[in-house]
Amino acid sequence: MWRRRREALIGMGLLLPSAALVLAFTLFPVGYNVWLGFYAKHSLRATSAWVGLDNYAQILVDPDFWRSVWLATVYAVASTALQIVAGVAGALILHRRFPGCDFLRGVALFPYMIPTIIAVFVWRWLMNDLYGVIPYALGALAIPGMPEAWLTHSTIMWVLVVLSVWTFFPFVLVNVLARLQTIPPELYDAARVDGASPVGQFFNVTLPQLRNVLLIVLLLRGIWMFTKFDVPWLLGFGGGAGEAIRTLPVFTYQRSFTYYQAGMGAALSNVMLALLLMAVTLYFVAFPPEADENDA
Amino acid sequence: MKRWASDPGLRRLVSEKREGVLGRRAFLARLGGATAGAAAATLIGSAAPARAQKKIVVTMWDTEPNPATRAAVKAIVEDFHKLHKDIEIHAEGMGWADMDRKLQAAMAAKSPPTASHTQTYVVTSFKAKGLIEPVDDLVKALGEDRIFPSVLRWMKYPDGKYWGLTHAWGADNLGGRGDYLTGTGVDPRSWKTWDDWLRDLPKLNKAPQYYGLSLAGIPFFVNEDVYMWTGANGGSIFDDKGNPALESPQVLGMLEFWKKLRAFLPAGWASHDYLETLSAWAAGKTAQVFMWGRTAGYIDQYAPPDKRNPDIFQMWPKTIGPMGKAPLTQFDNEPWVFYADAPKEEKAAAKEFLKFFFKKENYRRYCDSVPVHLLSIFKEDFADPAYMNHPERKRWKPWLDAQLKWVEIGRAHPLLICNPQDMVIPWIGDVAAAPILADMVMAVVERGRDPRAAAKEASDKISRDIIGKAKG
Amino acid sequence: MREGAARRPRSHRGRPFSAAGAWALRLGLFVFCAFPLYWMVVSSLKVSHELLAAPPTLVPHEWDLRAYRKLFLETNFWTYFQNTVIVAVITTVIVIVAGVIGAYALTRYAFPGRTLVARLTLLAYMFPPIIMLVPLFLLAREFGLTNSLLGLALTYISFALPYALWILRAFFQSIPIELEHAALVDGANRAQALAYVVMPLALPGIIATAIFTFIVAWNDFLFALVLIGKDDLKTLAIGINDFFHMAVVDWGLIMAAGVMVTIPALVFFIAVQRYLIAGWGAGGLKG
Repeated sequence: MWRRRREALIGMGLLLPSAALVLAFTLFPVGYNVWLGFYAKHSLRATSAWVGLDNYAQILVDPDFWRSVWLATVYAVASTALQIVAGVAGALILHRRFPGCDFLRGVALFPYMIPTIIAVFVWRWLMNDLYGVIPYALGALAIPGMPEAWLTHSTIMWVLVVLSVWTFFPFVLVNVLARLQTIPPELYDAARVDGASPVGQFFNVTLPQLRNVLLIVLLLRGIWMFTKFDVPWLLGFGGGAGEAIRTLPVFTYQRSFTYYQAGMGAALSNVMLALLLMAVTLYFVAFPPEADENDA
Repeated sequence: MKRWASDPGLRRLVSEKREGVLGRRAFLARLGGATAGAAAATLIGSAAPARAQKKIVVTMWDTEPNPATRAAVKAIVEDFHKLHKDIEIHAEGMGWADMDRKLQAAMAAKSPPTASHTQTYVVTSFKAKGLIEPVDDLVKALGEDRIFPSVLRWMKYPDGKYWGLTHAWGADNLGGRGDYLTGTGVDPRSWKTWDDWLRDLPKLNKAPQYYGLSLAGIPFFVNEDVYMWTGANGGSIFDDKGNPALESPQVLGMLEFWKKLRAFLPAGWASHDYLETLSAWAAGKTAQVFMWGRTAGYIDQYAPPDKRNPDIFQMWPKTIGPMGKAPLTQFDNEPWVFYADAPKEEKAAAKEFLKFFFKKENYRRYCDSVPVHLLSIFKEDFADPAYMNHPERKRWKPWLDAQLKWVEIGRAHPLLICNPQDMVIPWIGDVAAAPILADMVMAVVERGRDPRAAAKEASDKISRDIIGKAKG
Repeated sequence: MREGAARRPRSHRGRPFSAAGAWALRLGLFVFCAFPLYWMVVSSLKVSHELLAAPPTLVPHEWDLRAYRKLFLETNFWTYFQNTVIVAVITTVIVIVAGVIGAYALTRYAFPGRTLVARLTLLAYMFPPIIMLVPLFLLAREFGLTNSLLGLALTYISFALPYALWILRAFFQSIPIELEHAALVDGANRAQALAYVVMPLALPGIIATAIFTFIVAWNDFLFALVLIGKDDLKTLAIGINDFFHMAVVDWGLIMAAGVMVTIPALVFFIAVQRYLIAGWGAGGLKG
């Protein structure tokens, strides 16, 4: 009995540093934010006043807020879906070993590893309407109806999505690849004996085996794309054509640091957190996690 | 190893700590931040000798981060140090887009620089909050009579005091490619009105080879065109109480005008940065651009060698709207301001430095670092062959003349100030930082919204998010 | 992984899937991932007027190191680089030390509230940084931690530590506890079991986590943007952002900065990609 208590005490003692850090730097700020949301507070000056639910009342009737939610949703759905498709495809390509396989795996990870600012500025350059190589190449194809420029109100969202897929699909690729390598080959043998075509094998063997990893990837990437700030900000700088990609995080940043409305920014963050918690709850209702033996 | 006494930031920190301005917590944190630990050890080791030295450390922020100007400032500072061993000048250059927020943040943290450049509208805002001090002594020491009236005008407020001292000036101009006129029959000198300009623009537009005009779509730069064209149309974006006047016929006319210009802009203009428009002009991708003297650097970088001259890169007239009487251009005139919270002896030392800085031999070095853009605030220099015969000023003489003309007719106004009286509106800086005016333009030009509806929405946002918060 | 590689050929024996098709797909993947990198490199090496020429040239006609000279001689790139390394190292050291101890405690000791802590960690792992923007900024201001590399590193802990805890916990879980029991039975004490049994097995996962933590700090733009104002304290992300807005900017310079940031990283990642995939797969996400 004393031994169990001693174990527990050591365990808690060892956990203490990280628990304290998470408490201080993650959970406390989130709690502080809830409190800030009830204030009208200037981001830099010392002015601050309790306004109760006014921030939230203003948010809910602000068409710009709803537009930013809509844009963030479009962005999250489109970029997450395409990342998963590209990530699974990439993993299938890299699954079997071939000469140069390690090299190509490294190259495929590259977009995820470079700083976001480089990724975005390279794409801004690739897509530049006056000097960019991609608009030039697309223009040379002479497809009717092809836009002349891409960083415009009507098309910048697509550039944002493609650039985000390029940057983040390696996350999906790596997770899927790791899982692919643990699928017992016997399953494929059995499927082949049953006369399944390669496409049939993919749908009947590979996909079911990938189900769990894809569900987790879907959850994480969906959340992270919905709340992504740096990519839409650096592509559009929050205005001009960037107005068409003023997603909720960009809108929140601007409230906090161009209007200096810290209380409003905090309230918007809280709304984002609430949306996120709702999505996670829905997700876990739809896909209950399998019991984790270590948590018992 | 870096001795703490040679690091102005650290020394300032230590003296603030000694004087009790900073709490222990803030002191330790900033110490850790400023030097990442390594200097802390030397600090403990060598605190004693420094007490004897007691140099006055002056922090000055300016808006000229370009390498040539940095080198010039550094040389001037070094020469000043030779004369004033008790003063140390720490001069830092930063981009204009950066400056507002950094100042706001420094002010909030009660650690402003001793002096800094800033926009006229920020001078107004800081003055209203009691954050800065008048600089009449400095202006008088240099001699009011020597300075262009058009420069003085934006330094002097209705209380009769000078609240800033302009470091150098430049004026925005319409740049046009002379080589693109060939065979078009267009004579830009004949342009007086927007209609004249719109009539000839199709002849200067050979898209996609080159476009008629390039404009920047990033909000900060959209603001520039909004107020210049509103002013050229005889209006203002504010009424006489400082409330937004965006539903006025002058502003609506400006929006309609912009819609017509859209046909001659590159398709992707709305995502262009101001610097991209300059390189587009230099590289031949646009016939016209709104530009500053510093564009000469872009021309030397991007234009073919045989074209790097004012016969190709010409100055064309800005035009007036149907309701306007005179065109309006942007005046680049950031003044030096002095902060109320900075220690007295620092400010005295900074003034001493600026007097040294504005001495002919020193000031010349500064102005010559960007010769056609950092123009002297002293009238006499433009009669001085040594100044006028600088090779770059000779080479770009038409550019110099075009800028001087604006100063003579007094139609160069600081950013977002359409009417001279708008200069005292304290919240223009917040309007400048927000994307509201740019959103209005984009709604009309790119999303086809009705100008009146877009203007009303923008007015409401300025009232709600800026004036409402400033008063409340 | 090695094991999987060994048995895979069997599963594909006699597949009519054409080798040419497979290579076409591999090439497609390569081009998709590498072309932007290639374009960045060639753009950084073109002379200015060629950079803006139409049509764009696939290979520079005239090579030029102007952009690199400018980058190193006329900008503070090297300062930004050093600052970024400092912040990333501070963050990684704190996160890995605290994370390894914490994750070990979470998987090897039974105590009340352990499940709750694990769940909270998962939740915190999902918190996007933007949610903590305002509170962390105001707190940093309150504690005088703006314009401080240490302050910046501390804010990165807010999202890097839950992430590291989550991954490391899963990773320790995958190491059979029976191995430690066996060592203890053989007379080793707990510390020896940890040092000689658990750590060697956990090392790939710890390395992978360290790399990812480093990347989180290395890549951050948001917090550096709001917390750092002084030029000599800027990190690469905001330093390069300034290149875009400054009067001295040009595309060649930005691309050169991109190359200088990317090439060392790329070489490094090709070298360690085994760890990344193994570590991530085994620890980051359990099937």
